[in-house]
Amino acid sequence: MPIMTVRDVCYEYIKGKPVLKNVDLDLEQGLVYCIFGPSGCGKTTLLSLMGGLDVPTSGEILFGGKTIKEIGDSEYRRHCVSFVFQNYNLIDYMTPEENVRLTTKENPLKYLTQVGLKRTEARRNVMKLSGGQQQRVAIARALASGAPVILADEPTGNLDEDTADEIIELLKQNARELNRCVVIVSHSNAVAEASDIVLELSHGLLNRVK
Amino acid sequence: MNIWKRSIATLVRKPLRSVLLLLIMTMIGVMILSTLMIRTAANAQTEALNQKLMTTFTLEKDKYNSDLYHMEAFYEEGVPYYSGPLFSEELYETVLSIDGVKAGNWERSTGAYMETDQLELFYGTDREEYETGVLRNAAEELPNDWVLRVGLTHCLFPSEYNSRLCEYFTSGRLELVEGRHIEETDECVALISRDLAEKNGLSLGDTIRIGASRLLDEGPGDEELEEAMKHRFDDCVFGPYVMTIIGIYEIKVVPEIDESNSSTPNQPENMILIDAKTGEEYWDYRLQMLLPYVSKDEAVSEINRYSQTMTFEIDDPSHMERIQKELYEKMPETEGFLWVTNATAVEAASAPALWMMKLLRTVMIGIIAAGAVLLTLVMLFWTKARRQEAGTLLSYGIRKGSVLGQLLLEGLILVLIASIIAIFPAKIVSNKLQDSLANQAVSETQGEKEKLLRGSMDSVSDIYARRTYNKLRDFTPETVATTITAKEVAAMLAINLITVSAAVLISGIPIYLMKPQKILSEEK
Repeated sequence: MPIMTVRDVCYEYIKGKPVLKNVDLDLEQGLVYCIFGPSGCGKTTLLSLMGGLDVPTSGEILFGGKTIKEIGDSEYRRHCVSFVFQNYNLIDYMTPEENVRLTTKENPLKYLTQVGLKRTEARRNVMKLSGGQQQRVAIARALASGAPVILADEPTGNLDEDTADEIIELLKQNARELNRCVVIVSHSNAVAEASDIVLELSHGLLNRVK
Repeated sequence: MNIWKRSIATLVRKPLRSVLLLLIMTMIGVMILSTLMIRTAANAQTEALNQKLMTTFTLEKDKYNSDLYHMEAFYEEGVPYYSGPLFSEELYETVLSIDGVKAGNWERSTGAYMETDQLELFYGTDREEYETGVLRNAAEELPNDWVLRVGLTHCLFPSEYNSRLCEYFTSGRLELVEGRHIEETDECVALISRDLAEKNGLSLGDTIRIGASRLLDEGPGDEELEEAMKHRFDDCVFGPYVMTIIGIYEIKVVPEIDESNSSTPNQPENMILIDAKTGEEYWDYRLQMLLPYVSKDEAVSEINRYSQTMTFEIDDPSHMERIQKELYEKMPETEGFLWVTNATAVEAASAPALWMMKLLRTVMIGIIAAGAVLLTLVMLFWTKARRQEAGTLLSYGIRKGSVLGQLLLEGLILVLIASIIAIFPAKIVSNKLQDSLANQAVSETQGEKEKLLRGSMDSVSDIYARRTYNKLRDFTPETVATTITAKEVAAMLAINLITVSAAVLISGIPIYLMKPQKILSEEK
């Protein structure tokens, strides 16, 4: 049984000009999904809808057989899905530790060291870290939430190749070992190759290519 | 992280923003607190004026009504006597029984027939006037040197039920500086002037003797004048009474010397206020003295010829009309009295403070409105700058209430700190402000005061208008002392809290209404 089902979802920013057209998708736990497509094709929009950050114009998104509305917006975002944003969206006045603590009551260092951050770096202001380190914090925050679905928007877009590989490996490892479902929106071929299922979004339609 | 930790972390780690907001809130707090302090002080000033001038009305014989004065045959010189309504115990009690009347004073002059046997008085400047005036009537057969010498022992002894309400004190011409006022239950007590006390080495608790000797009634006899003077109280026609000095007053407004006050008994330093019981006994004595010669009615009328007033303190100037109406209904004859109120004086003297209060009300509304707008704009700017943070928190399932609550809590913490800080500069600012405001208030209300004064002159009498003017001159408040009380601080805090809460809620509306995706995409 899929953990998440995207059923017949349409989305329009401007009436009559759909960005997503009747998108259907079943997401399974333990797998890494990659959604790719040209800029502006609606990848991030689809991810936002799946993450409960926006509401589809029509159609529905089910989690464990329940709609987001049934679960409740906040409950859904807190316990069902977790985001890794393209621009990290870290809280700028907090340390990496505090950013991670927003999503978990566990020791944040566990997750921060998992993504390769040193203890001293974990207690610095987050804005004093490099772009790569900030991305690791964002990933650690998503992993720490314990949500079964991780939605990552271009998680390696700002990283060098080696770091990007490490991050992808970490997400894959999480999917395998913790039976999570990881959905990555990316332009990167490396990400697509590392993913279990690859989907292409084009002209509002989602097609499986791998 | 819970809402408290997030709020404190924001405030501490974004110091520039926190300090800026704190400064704005402190400034608003200072203005509000200063305004409240000045307003309270102005209010207190008005209250104090009401207390000091007191809202009173005085019943006086209408000296300008010729119908009430008649030339009576038993005075060959043709001294007019008063035939209008008489002051009585019944009248006094009736007025006191009216709702809203707090206290009363019945003041009766004893004329200048009473004397002291041991005091050295302040001599008047015109002894001839005295000689040919008051005493002449009583001692027409006596040699001039006797009259003059005896006259130097006479002074005015107004008797008072409650000297606190005596017009000398309510008008501010006299001020009690030691001891206490005369009350209705007192017997054989006196208030004397500081000048007289110093001249005679008297202080509180000391006694003086007063009475009426036979010298003016019976003449010198065989004794020499000075010898007769020494022993005149051995056998008085009235008294002597041993009076205990219970209060000492100072003369604050020295009357101009004119023909009415140039004699020894009229010197203000010589006036001795005595209790009502002693005064009443003297009046009875005068009455009994007249009865062999005239009818009782004539005697009573003669006694009432002397100056008498009844002054009543009321709780609220707005009750004056009702009280007057009630009294006229109960005792219609009292309409023959002149009804003199000092409400005009209170109103006129309070005008600057009232003007200030009116202005401050407007200023405070302005400050609150401007402060609310400024704070809202700053908070809007601040909240807009923090939308990315809000969007992120929402995307991780933190509820909108918690996100807005954090903004509110941050604002409230700053307001609390700002309110405490504001207390110190507010004291300085309020003092500076009140000085300039008070000066402006005095000049702004000058016209109003003049108008009130002119009104009182037109509507009552010249004497009353002069009295009003004296009160006005003496009590016009030119400065207002400000103090900080818990009430004002609490009010300032409440206003600040409401303002900041409103500003946070207004600036938080977009966060409340927008989806997280919209918030985050706007920030990209």
